[in-house]
Amino acid sequence: MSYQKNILMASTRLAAVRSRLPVAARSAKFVPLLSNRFYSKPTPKTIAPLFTVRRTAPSTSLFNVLGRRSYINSNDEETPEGLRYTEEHEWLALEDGNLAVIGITGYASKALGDVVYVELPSVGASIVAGEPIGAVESVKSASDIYSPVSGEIIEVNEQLDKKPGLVNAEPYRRGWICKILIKDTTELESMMDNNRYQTFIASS
Amino acid sequence: MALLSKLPNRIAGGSRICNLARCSRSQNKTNINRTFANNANSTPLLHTPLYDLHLAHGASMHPFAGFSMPITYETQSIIESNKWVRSQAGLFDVSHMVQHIFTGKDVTTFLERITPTDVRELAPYSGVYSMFLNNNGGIVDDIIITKHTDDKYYIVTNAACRAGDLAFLEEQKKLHGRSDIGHEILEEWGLLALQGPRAAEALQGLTDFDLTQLKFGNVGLVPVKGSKYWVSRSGYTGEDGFEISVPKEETLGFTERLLGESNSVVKLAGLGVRDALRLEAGLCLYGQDLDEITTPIQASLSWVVGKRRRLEGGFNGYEVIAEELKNGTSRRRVGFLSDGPPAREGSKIYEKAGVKLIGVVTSGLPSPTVGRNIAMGYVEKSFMKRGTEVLFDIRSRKRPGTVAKIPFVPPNYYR
Repeated sequence: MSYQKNILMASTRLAAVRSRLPVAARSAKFVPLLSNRFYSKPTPKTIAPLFTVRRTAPSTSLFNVLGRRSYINSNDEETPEGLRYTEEHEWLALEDGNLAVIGITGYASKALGDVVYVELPSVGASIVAGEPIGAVESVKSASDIYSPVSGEIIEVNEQLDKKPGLVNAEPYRRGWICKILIKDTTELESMMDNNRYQTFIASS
Repeated sequence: MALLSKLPNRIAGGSRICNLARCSRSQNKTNINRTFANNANSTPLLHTPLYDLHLAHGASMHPFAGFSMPITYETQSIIESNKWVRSQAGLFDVSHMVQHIFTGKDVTTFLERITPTDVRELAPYSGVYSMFLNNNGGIVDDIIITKHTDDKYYIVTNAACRAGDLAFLEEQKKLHGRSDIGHEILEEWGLLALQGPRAAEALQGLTDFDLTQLKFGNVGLVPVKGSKYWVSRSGYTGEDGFEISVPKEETLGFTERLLGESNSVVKLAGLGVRDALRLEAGLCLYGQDLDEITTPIQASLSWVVGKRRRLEGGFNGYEVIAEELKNGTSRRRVGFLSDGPPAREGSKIYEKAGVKLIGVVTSGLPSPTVGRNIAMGYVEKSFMKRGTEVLFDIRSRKRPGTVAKIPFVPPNYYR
């Protein structure tokens, strides 16, 4: 009886997930996630309408994989400033006027584990805040990605088809999900800033 | 066969019992808000003897079957852990499972009443995969029966089925006039599953007992540093390995010795990777792949029904099972392979034209070892042939898959 056994090889797709990209690769094409002047003065009277919608959705979220351990600062990648966050662990960055880039947070990507498949929305699709626009699959779970805002999908990160692991390696940069032309920028007001998001994940 | 440690594909809390025939959820979905609500309303979670050790090793703890259990450890992702167990050795804390001792002169007869296993002919000091059956032939729980002697058995059952099993056992004892049977649960004992091609090497380092004497399914009383533990050569990953029953006070010390130095071949492995490993090995998870309205024949586990038992009967649900053995069943558990987004528990299965609903997926995930998506589920009889093309409903889109051979990864047992 031999106790040796060859490691059965996984596919390239899965193997790719495990690789951690070199630091140099972090210079993504939209790297400067602009700090967002828009958010500095949230309107107090706004009451988050999109979360009302979301709570009625009978769906999973990135939430369902989070345990009692804290994953704060667990990701190697530095969290950019000026992002806005949802309770479903999506981030949003305003790239230009009402063009937003969205992705999932480092906290969520760490909790998901190795991402092996990302379902991307279709370019040109009209989307509604709080509705699922795609999904992130790891070995243990499937989690929907919800759009933080209403609008139109302008571009998707096609790199994720071949390299879903970018969501783990660089959740805020090369692991972005899609770009959305925002219909109504007041929807942004209900999103959390980094401080509130950190408090939120610490308490959940 | 193996000791059945079970874990949810859905890691969150709540009942995992899904009626396979009526399961209507289109996706395997939960929401953490609901999970937390459940936790808040339920009793505090139980801890295994290794709870503190899990935390010290950076475990992500989740509720499972009333226990707070490690799903992953921060040092390895599920994919890394999967490869580790299949090439080195992983150590799973499965102390949440229920360890029973049954004693008495009528035990063999009683176990032959409530299981389809040929318990009488089971060799002493060996164990076998089996199931408690109800009168309809439905599976109350899937279990491991280990015979020590004809009047002493060690049985491991699922933690999530504990209350149901205990009620079932009480009822069956009364029903069959076996109230004098001794039944003890090893409360708070540790149960460790050491799994992988280097498991034997790791355990051999701690004992003078010649482990080559233990073949797959055998048990032995193995001396380890002044104590003796029942060790069975089994597991639930498809790999060679052992399940070791340890008294509460000694569980931590024994585990630390097994883990040894940080460069040891043994690494802790959580329930997350366990789910992937057991599915790759084609092994069922009670509550997902098996339930009370499913018979062993429908579950493609007819090998559990002993040859002698098929002829003689005398066990719960025999009429149903004999009929199914003779004429087949309307639905059967089969395996699937696919690419793209994985079909998971609850995904509906359609025939390839996409119109007719033919079944439902009961477990599924992207397999780290195979490199494709693997799944098990139940389909109508005419669609169970290997190679049959099907469609899974995943997030309201139909995606192709193929009926495939189970297990997905060949077993590596020590025989």
